[in-house]
Amino acid sequence: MKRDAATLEKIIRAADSDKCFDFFIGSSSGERAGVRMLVEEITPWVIQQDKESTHAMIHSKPGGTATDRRLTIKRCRVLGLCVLATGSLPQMKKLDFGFDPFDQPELLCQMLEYLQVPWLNDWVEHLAKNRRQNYYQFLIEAGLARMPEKEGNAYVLGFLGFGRHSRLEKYGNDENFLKTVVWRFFEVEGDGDRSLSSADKYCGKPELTWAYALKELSDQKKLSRDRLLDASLEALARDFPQYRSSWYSRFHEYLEPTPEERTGRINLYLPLLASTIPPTVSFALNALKIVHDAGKLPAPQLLLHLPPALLSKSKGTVLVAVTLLETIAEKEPKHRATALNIAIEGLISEIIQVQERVVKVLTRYSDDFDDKGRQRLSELADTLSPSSRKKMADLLPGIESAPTKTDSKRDAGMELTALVSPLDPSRQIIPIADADELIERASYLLENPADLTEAERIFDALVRISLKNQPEMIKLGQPLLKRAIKLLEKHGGSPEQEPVFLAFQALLVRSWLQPDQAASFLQPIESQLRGVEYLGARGYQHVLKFPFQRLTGILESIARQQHLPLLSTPTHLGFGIDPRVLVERVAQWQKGKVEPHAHDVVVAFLRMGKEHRKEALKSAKNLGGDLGSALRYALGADEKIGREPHLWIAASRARFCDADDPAMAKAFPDLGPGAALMPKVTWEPGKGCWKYIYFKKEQTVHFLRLNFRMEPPVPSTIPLTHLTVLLHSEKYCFHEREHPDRPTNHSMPRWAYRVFLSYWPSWREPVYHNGLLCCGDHTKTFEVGDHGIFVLFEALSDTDEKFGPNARLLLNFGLSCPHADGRASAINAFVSGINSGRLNPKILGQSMLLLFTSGLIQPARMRKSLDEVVRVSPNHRRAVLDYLTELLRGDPAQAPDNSVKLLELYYELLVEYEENAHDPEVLAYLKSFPGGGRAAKLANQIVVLP
Amino acid sequence: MAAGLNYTYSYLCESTLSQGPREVSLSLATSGGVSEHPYFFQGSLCYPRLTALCLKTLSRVVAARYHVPAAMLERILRESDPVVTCGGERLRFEGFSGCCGVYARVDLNPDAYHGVFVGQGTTNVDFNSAMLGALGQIRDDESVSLAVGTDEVALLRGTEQIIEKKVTLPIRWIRGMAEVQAYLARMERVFSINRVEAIRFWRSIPASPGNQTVYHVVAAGNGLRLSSQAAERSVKVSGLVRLRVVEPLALACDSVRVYTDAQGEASAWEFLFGPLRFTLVLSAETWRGFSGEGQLLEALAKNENDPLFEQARASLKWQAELPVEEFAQNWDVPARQVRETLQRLAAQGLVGYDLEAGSYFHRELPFTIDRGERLNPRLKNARKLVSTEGVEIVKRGKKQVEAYVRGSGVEHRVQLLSGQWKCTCPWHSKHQGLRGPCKHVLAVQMATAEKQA
Repeated sequence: MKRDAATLEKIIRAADSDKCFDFFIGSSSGERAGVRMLVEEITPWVIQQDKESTHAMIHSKPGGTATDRRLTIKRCRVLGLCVLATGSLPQMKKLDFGFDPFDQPELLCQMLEYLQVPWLNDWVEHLAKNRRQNYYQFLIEAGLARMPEKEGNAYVLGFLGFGRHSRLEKYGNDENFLKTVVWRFFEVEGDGDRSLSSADKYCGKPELTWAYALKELSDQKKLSRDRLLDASLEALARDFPQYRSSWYSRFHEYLEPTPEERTGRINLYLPLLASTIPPTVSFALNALKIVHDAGKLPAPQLLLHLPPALLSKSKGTVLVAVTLLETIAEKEPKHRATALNIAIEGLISEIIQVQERVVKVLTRYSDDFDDKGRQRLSELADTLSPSSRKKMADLLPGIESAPTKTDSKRDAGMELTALVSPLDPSRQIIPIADADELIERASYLLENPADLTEAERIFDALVRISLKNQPEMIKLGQPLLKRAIKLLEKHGGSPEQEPVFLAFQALLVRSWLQPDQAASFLQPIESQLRGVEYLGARGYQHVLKFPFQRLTGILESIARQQHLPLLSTPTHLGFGIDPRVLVERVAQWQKGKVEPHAHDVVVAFLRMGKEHRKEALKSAKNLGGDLGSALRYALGADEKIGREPHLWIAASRARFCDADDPAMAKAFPDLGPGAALMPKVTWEPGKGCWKYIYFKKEQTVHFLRLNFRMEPPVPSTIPLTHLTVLLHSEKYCFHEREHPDRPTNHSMPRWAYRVFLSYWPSWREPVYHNGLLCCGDHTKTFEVGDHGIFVLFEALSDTDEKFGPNARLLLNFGLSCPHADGRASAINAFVSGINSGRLNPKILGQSMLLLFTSGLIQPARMRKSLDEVVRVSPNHRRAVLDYLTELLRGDPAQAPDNSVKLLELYYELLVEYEENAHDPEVLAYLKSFPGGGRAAKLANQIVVLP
Repeated sequence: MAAGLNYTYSYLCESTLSQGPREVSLSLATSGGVSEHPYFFQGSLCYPRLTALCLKTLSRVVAARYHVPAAMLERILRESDPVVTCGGERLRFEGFSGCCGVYARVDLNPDAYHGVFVGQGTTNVDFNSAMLGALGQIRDDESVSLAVGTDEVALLRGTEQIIEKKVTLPIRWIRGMAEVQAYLARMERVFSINRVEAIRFWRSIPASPGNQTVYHVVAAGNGLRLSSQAAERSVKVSGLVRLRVVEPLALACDSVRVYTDAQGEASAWEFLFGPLRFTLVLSAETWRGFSGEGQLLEALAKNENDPLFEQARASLKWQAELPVEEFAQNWDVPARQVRETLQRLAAQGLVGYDLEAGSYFHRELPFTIDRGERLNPRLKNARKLVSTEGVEIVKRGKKQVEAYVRGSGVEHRVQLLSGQWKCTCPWHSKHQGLRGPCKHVLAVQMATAEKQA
């Protein structure tokens, strides 16, 4: 064969690997150098062909077939051989692994043996790092490359692999594996992709697992059983992360060590008691218990290593440790004091059952404490639960059996949060004074768009302040303009997405800085906001349109250069508006003979504060038109209801807040809940069942949901200016469900909740109602979209929050939220509500009763939340006691699983306050607790409290 | 500017933990610093199990990556090693996470060891997986010797045991490890809790907290709890998962102290075990490191050839505490100036900060970088603006400055009013000075200083 470029080119194009091997095996270095350039030049063509054939096949384009694809794959392999023979490591790396030349390993080995490629070991290191073990394993076995040094761990992990094949069959006769690699399994941690745990978890059948394979090999005497037992324990001592280390403890038990084998390994089990991995501690303890029960574990040895086990998070582990200590204390008096001293550490656990057990042991041997033990007990006295402290009172005469009782809201170190009126002067917002300040604050807002208070201040200034005849300000504003334009170019999407809202803010700023062009930004507004076709008149009817329409109104005011103050700009922190200021603003608009934007008016009315209304009414007497009448009506005057429903709804709500307005109801019947009549909502937990087809199979989802009945009913069509009604409508707040019974409502985005909460700050119940519609479905996983609902939990902590019925329900949901973030907000709301006296825990408990038996609440999670609350202060503990008292009513057979957790807490609080369950309804509940389990026993304990 | 520093760790052998006839020996291999393979310490540990626990936790911090910046290579970060400083009768082991958001240090005070300091200095130490695995088996009743370095250099040189690791240490990582000390210097203690409360607090940390969620640690009775809102006395923590790495320490410590800086951005968690301490410092956000935070920039912007800087540098003799008042007296300068100088030394990796002592200590990171690379990009850009006449000062008074600084196609106005610097650039607008001055403010500061000089 002529070994020249032309020949090689034909071979490559024909994808003939046999001829390729013939070409290079026996070639001289000069011949290979002669084709080097060809290989470099033809590489892009081969790659392009490969891409095109893949694309064509995937998209079923003409000319794209599996045959074409097979050809290009072969051609790639041939190219790989050529690069191996003539190229360099960087060239090989660039080809990526689609070009694996290892189709014919024997021929390849022959070729490599001939060529002696100098960078082959580096290539193997690279393959090992990228986990292509099957690409290089045979090279090592053939002696052509050495085992990866730098990537030794990766080499080992490469054996783990995935796939449903039998490891026993594959490696059972592999000497290299049996001598070297398998023991490295116990030294190399593994990573997120490759570990023994993952490999065995996903291999399908037990007989395909590594555990099965290694045990079989041990039974066949191909692997040392002793060494496997030792290695698994040594691996556990390395404290690999829990998921990966759990394989070793399971494997160790899978080998079924005999008592003798365990006895011989005491020195390997004992250090594991100090492992940072809780299941490892549990495993070791159980193994040691077996040895101890057989009388083969000397007490001093065990006592030396046992202390860390008492600090385990796992209740079972600590209880086993305490049992061992009790046994030692009983059977070996000379070690009793030491055993007791160790047992004392179990009191650190917050689990009541653990404390009870430890206390039982300690009180049994109360005469055997030494000074060290007594001192430690004193140190831990504060950590004891009330019932444990009571039982230990004899052991420690000095400790208090109960904290100081207090009915006062003031507790040591806990200042009562003083409530400040929404229109208190300390909360006053100073309007932006001039263009200079506006430029600075607008720059801040574009970078910190979540600051809604500042946003409102800036909207007002954008409308009010003119740049006319201020060229120096225009110059100063250039950086701001540049930034605004950049944001407009960057952000886009559907209105649900926060960036669009941010972009709108940038648009307002741009309009102010370019007043001559501002009008053009309105025609149409969608052209300025990328992808926001929803804002057009195309039938998109959603409450989210309201804030955008409000911003559009602001933009119109800027474009018209009206320089009048926005009606809805808050005058105080918390989004309240001083009624006197609102009257002045309306007067200015009327003087200017300009009609304010409808959305601006609606929000202005809803934000109106309750104070200074009489004064404001006096100033409003000369205001004309429907707007003037509506404002006076809102301030408390007798006015005839006018023509514009949106105006009068807002006025009615501003006046009556959460009460019905009969006059308005008469003038505008059938507007829906939140207009003239406040909604009367009855919530009913319920179940649903949704069937759908997935991959041609019918799937069924059972779920829980919170249904509601509302009076008056929500109208089917609601104008987008009737904000307080819109928020009650599922149709206008959520995307239409594909199926009416489909469970999930995704919550509105966070920014939307923040904005809507700011519109009617004195009564947020409609927004909370919206949030509750997301809470009901799939509460076990709390599928609420982007967790916008957590914003509502946060809002409950505001000192202005009044905790209406929806707020209370929401808080109850939050206490049981599976997400830590949401639960933290709910806990905070509970704590701050008690701090400030806004939250009545009894009423909160009554609200929870609705949900408690529905399955929507998880008592274990609730307990965790309440545990956080009780730690704050005695006042909070009292509040939780009152709260729990309200839950213990009705039929205990309906109580959710794990309600024992709440009973436990209830019992402890009663002991702490030296009270009993005197409420007859509660007593009846407790007495009729079914079953004989722990819950029933606790219920009985509570009943008999003195 | 190079993206990283090409660096070679060269150890004569691996660090080992080996069982001898009478004791366990922990031999730490060293690389770089005052010499190629320094030999610093020979002795034994008084609290072997606790020391081992702290060192293991330190190694976990070093291996951790809570955020992978796009520009960084994971492999590079995997290979960075902790450093140890021996001097002033202290042994200090320091590590920095791969994501540059977590710093950790183990301090051994004199009562934590018996032994002699054969030398003083800072060096890299090899922490390999075999040694770390063996550390987990150490018990308190065992006798454990500790050697930092070896006196058998000649014997080991040229053997097959030599380990070389070539890495590229990202500049961000190097700067962060240096600049975190200046953060520590600004921190104040907020909480102090005992072991029981520490255990309870760590057990209350959610298993999978959101990486972006901001929590606030607030008081709850004698202990701490997590809140979603700040309180008058609270410590902000973002990326709560970063605290989980130290949970094993909570089980063993005597007490924990929590610190934060005045802006409530970064936090420090100090675990006390008698004469041992473990300090964990968390950056403000998971994705934010400690470099480029700008807090040092104003100090660094000052003349690098300042004689006080050189004087301070000459005074460094591996002291465990660098007394500010004493230096101020000796050098006849205000204490504030001494602190600024120490800040600059910290930024160059020449000193660390000890929270408990409330003082800087001498240590020198074993990797040096060129002056050009040492400079923060903001500082470099500020200097460039000044040198290319990009700063126009239009007003200057005692307490007031107004200037226009060239931006990208625009001009930014920089003002000093009522002691506050302001700028119209997006950086300043976003951070409002909380992350240090922007390059425009720095440029104006430099320009006004030049003009004064």
